[in-house]
Amino acid sequence: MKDIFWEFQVTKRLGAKIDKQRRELRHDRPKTRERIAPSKQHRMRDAEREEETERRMDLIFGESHFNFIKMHLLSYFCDHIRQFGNIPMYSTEFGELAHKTQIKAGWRQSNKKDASRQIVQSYSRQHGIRMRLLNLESLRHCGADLSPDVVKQLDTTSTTTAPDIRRRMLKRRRNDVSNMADFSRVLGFSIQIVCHGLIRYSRHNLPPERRLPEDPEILKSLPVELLTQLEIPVLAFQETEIYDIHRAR
Amino acid sequence: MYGAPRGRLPAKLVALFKIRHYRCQDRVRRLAGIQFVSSVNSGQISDVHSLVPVQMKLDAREFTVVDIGTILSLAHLIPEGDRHWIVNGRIDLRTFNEVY
Repeated sequence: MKDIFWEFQVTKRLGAKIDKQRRELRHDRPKTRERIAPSKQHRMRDAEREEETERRMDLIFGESHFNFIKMHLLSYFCDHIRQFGNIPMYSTEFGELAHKTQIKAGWRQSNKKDASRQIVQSYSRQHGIRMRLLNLESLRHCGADLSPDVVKQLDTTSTTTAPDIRRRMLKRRRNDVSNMADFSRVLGFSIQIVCHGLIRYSRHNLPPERRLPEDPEILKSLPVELLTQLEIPVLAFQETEIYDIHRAR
Repeated sequence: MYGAPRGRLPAKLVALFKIRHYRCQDRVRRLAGIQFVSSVNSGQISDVHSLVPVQMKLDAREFTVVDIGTILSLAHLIPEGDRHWIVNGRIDLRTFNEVY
């Protein structure tokens, strides 16, 4: 809102200045126009017009701040991604961050003699250690037998984030679905495809005592509610406590 | 798994539903019917745009049931030809929604 107001003010001031300049130009015109030949008058008028345009351009570029980014540039993101690759590749942020974390830290750790080589070596060493830790962590996930020291070290340097415990919310129930037959009819799938999907899910994801019945007739009789919106809490970018709600429909 | 997406894969949401299993303590399962897309080139990042391309195969299973807890977030797919997309993991969805 503030930016819009600022733009408005700039335009208003600019208009006032242009009017003032125009008035000055009118007063400066020679009063002896009648004595000048018509062709010369025409040339003079052209020259005046050019001069006025130049003054306008000087005012526009000299007084106002029109070099701000336009909102419509954002609409070209898709084309840019296709053409040049992902946007952060062109970000200078990485370079600045790299200067801080890689070069400055490396410089401090070096003995200041042939420092560039030491900076590169220090960073590649850190990178190698990080890769090894990730490899060990994935081995632990696969159930590899690691020594207790390694496991302890992995616990302290673990990079995996804790699973999100926030619940997803299902909303907007449809009233025209009460059982599996209605459900398959609304979706436009055959009841066999739906039952097959459910049985497959039940076999692969549920413990034996909690599995859904595999008899299609019983499965068809189970009460079903169809909903149209799922709210998924997702951590906001670079935040640890603020969640965005993604609404899947 | 799936290459660069590291175990995550986009899918088309077909249906959201609850099913009540009255034979098992009246337990309610919150489920989603989805249609998976498959990763192209073993999920390797493309050299052209540095993003992961995915495709919907013609013989893809029409209706796969998953728990709603396995749905992580919405994904932004950019169409790239017929039944092919690239997964944009670069602009966060909030910015995208604010712009468009």
